[in-house]
Amino acid sequence: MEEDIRLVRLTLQGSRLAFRQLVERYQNFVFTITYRVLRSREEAEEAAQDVFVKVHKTLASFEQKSKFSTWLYTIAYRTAIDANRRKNNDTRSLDDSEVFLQVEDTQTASPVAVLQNKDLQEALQEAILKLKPEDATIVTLFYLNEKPIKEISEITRLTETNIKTRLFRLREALKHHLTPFWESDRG
Amino acid sequence: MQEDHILIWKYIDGECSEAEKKAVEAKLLINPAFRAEWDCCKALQTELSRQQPEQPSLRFQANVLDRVFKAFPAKSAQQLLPRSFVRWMAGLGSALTAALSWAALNVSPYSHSHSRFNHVVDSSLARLVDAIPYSTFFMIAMVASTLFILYLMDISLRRFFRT
Repeated sequence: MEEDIRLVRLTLQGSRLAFRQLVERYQNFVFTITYRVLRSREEAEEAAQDVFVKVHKTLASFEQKSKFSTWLYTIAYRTAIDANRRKNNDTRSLDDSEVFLQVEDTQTASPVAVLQNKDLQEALQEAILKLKPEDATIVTLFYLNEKPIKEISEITRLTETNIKTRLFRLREALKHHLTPFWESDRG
Repeated sequence: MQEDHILIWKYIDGECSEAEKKAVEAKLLINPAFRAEWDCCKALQTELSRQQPEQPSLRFQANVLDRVFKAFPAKSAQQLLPRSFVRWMAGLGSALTAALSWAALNVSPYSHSHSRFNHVVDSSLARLVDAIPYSTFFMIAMVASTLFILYLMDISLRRFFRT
């Protein structure tokens, strides 16, 4: 957090290198949020670029009342939601999901376990992309960015109770979606 | 059943009271259905925690920086200082450096000028060189040269990056 503030201060003083470092630190997380809302790699990348342009433009208005990451994710979430509203199109290509697979660590797991894990993570990613944009953002912020409910509430402007309820429901839905994988493991 | 699910997720999120914790732990020992549900929730929790962020294209960072710095170009030194001031400073610095260098190299007690004008110039410069300690002279020369080099660099970098 202190490093973020230092980089923000340097960026405000005109340092391009500091801003480059901020982009480098957060580009993956910002892109993940926009991608999970927009469900299209190209649109998510465009939206993520818009986020950083907005951040640079309005950095002077960042009052440090919250963490820099919370402020940044708020901009990312709202930019993605706005882009999604403009798009207003729920269809998406099923082929796209294959592009986003993550490579697993194969050092300790057996090849069979690696294959099963890969399938499971793939299924999880697909399931998250099928969630509503708000729910996909909540699960991303809660697990990937490890944000507490209070900060997720600030970012999404939903009440803490609403977020807890949504989190419970979406986890139940994800569990339902992944149950066949665990059952096939046991079988 | 719904209550059990809520209780399990509360336990996993660390939001259970002591009484609820004990209830969950007791149920895990005696209730196989609760245990199976617990295992599913724990497995999902593990998978969700193992997620990796998505990665944008390799050009992403360059595209962002291009867009940002096109919209907000950095100001060159010439925009921060009045152009005439920079030119005057560069000119004066160059002239001072040249004069002091020439004086240091050419004026010596052994030079004998026959022309009155040359004599006046030589003696004036000799007095100037004598009046300025060597270290001060060296410092002035260095500062003036640095300013001049920075001025040239600013011009060439501006042309290079076309800002």
